Amino acid sequence: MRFFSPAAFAFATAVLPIILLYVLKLRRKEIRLSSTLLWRQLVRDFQANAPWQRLRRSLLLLLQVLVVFFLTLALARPYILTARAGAGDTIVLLDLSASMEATDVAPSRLARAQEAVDALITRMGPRDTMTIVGMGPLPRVLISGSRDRPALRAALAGAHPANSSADLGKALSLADSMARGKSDVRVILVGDGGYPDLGPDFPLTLPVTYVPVGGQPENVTVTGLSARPIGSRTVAMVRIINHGHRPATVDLTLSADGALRSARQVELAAGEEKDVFWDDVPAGARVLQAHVADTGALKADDDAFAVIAQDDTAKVLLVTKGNLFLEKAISLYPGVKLYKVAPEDYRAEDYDLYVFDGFLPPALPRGNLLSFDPPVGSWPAEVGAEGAAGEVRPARPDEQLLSYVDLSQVHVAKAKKLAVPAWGRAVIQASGGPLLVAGEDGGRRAAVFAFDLHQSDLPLRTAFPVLVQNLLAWELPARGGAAADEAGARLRVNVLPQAEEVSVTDPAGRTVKVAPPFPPSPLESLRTGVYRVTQKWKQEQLVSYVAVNFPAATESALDVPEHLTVGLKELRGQAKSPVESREVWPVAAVVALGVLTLEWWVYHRGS
Amino acid sequence: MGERVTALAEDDGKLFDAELLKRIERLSIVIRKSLAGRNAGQRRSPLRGSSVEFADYRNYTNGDDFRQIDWNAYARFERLYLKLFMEEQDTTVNVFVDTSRSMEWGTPVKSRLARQLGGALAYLGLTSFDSVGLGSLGAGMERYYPPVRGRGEIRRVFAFLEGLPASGETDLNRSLRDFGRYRRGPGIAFVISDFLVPGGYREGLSYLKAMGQEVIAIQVLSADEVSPELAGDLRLVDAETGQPQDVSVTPGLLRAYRERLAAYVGELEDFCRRREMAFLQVLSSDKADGVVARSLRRAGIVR
Repeated sequence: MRFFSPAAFAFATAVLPIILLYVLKLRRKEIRLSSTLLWRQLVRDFQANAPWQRLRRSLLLLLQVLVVFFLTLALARPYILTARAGAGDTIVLLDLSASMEATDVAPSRLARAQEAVDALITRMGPRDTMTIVGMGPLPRVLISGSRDRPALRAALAGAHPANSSADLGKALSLADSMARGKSDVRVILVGDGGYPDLGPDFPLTLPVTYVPVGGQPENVTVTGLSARPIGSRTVAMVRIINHGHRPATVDLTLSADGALRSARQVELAAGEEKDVFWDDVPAGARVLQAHVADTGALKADDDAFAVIAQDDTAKVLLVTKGNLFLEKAISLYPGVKLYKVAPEDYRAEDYDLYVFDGFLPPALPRGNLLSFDPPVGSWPAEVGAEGAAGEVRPARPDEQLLSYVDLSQVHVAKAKKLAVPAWGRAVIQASGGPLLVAGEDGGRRAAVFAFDLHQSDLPLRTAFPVLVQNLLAWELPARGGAAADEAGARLRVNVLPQAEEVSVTDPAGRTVKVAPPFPPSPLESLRTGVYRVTQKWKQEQLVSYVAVNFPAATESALDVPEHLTVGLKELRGQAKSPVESREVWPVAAVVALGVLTLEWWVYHRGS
Repeated sequence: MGERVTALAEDDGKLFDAELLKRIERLSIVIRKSLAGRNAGQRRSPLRGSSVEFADYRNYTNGDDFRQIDWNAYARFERLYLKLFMEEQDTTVNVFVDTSRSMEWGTPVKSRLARQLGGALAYLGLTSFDSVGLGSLGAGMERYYPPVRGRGEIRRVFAFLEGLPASGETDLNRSLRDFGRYRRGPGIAFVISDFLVPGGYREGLSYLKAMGQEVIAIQVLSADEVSPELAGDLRLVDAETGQPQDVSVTPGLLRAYRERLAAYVGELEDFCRRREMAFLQVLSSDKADGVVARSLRRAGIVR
């Protein structure tokens, strides 16, 4: 038992005068009477039961001391820490991200989280309800507002983690909407942290208790396997990261189409990441798998998959008065056949991608677009007059087109005013306005730079070729294939116009027909590995592969943070299940009153 | 005569007023049994004498006065009978008033009513041509006013009662025994006291009875003795002895006190009844004339 105001214990000194009065006896009021004869006789009679009198006296003293004791107790406002129960509605956000499969706490983080929730179910009051929301890429309500403990436990036991990251923001929004119109709703987040930052503007209205699960385990992850055919050979690169706190030596193997090709030993310091290259990947291999023999806490991130781009060259038309930087950067992209014309010689033909530099035709051609320095007032974005650009920075922190692009050394002297069109988004932002917008408009992918490359030092930076590679990778998707994705996202299938039937076979060998009807129904890719997409039309069929990888960026770093920041609030982790302090002073006060009544009764009965 | 008394009462103010005397003037003290007195008076004496009122016959025995033989009866029955006559005699009314300090208690003080009653009874006695004697009841009978006769004495009797000092303790037994030093023989004895005496009252009252006195005990209590209004932890100090008594007064104790008082009074009453003594309890707040005219009358002590 603890006390809110221990200073009130000073009140206990009230016992002293009481005891003092008893010790000194009371100073009696003197009253003169005509005769005390009868009184003396009375007292003599009463002395017959003197032991009771003495007992009553000490009993009264005891009771009075007890009254003071309980009053003091009540004044000190004692409280006990109890598991919060009887507190209305609880919404449990159960982290079902891939990292919850980590085994740094036995048997697994998810099992521990389930135990914690189970304990909450046990402590539920008779009128409490509980809602359990599984936090995956999308929040999923496992059970809603139930008082039924067996049902809650069944729903809890049915929760399985997905090979994906968890979206805390969506889960909190869901909880917020579920709590709307109710009072006394609290949210308990049971998970291992590692959620993407929600930004300072995220509105957090509900009281959220964060119950962290897991520790600070060792883990080596393999991420970012990519392969490019260069000439007759295929070069593969893999990034391997040690998320642990100790140096690790791991065996890294590379398999091509299921056959082991190469094995290497890699030494990694704590927190170190290394890129490993292979240039002896056999030509014609389609699916690569990198595997790290890791003894760390998480197994799911020990594999990375890549699909080697097919031999289908894309035709790219560069319309420019002359731009060596651009020409070089585009020609570096594998599988590209680059054609170059001056603006006055431009003619729309069957190209996969048109790159316009300082020029835009009045009628846009079919095909994807990459536009540099478009003329004022032209499509695809509203283009305004030229002005100073200012400081250059990414528009969003997680912009895929800017991955591995370092903009910190980039300066732009002059840029045109670009309005962000409804179909697109700003990719590079400057204080004067967006410098690069990109988006998909009715099946056409387009990216527009607001400045002339000659007005910028961008081409002189390493960021430039990387940015162009990213843009081309986005603008020139593998024909008939699908974009490589992180697990948990919807599998995006690039369906050929002539395809009549599309089916997808997942890594476990399960085949799902996604079309017809068209467009194909979305398919969640919860397993990592290689998905086989088969498209059939007439007598022909095209088989393509999509690699789905573990979301290593958010899920492989297993260290559980002690606190989470949601919006402007910091949620401190509570290692034990959430408790509340319950004040018990009314009990003490009632007991004091009871003892006082008893004292009164003894006083009167004993006389 | 009546006018003199009125004047007297006015002179003395509160204790004896003319109203009181006027109201009781027509009353007289009832003697339940015949009393033997020394002087011929209005009361019948148990000694058969030479009065005109025939009382009884009895057989002649040797030594009887021949003069009292009823010769007519002898002529008829040839046996000797003595003719007995009632002899009219006076009697002595003794009024004893408790003068201890405990009587100076209550609102109004008990001694006031006690003296008023004493005075009224003495007045009744004097108006009936009885001799009236008075005595104070204290540690002993310290003051004694020897019997006097005649209405003319009333003034001095009142003066005696007014002049009685209130002091000391009461020892009823000793005081009444002391009375025997002054007087012996039958009479009427009014004992006016609160009877709250540590030494008891039985011996004294029995002594009077044995002397042949017709005893009338009048107990004067104050209202706060009958139902005291006390509460809390008190030290009760006896007004006479100064003896302290610690009590913690509770409703239960008060209840017990009232029971105790009732038992005490009951005991006294019972004692009197068994010994053919009259008993009357009055409150100090009662009016003296009312007590005499109603309570004493109802008890058959006066008529």
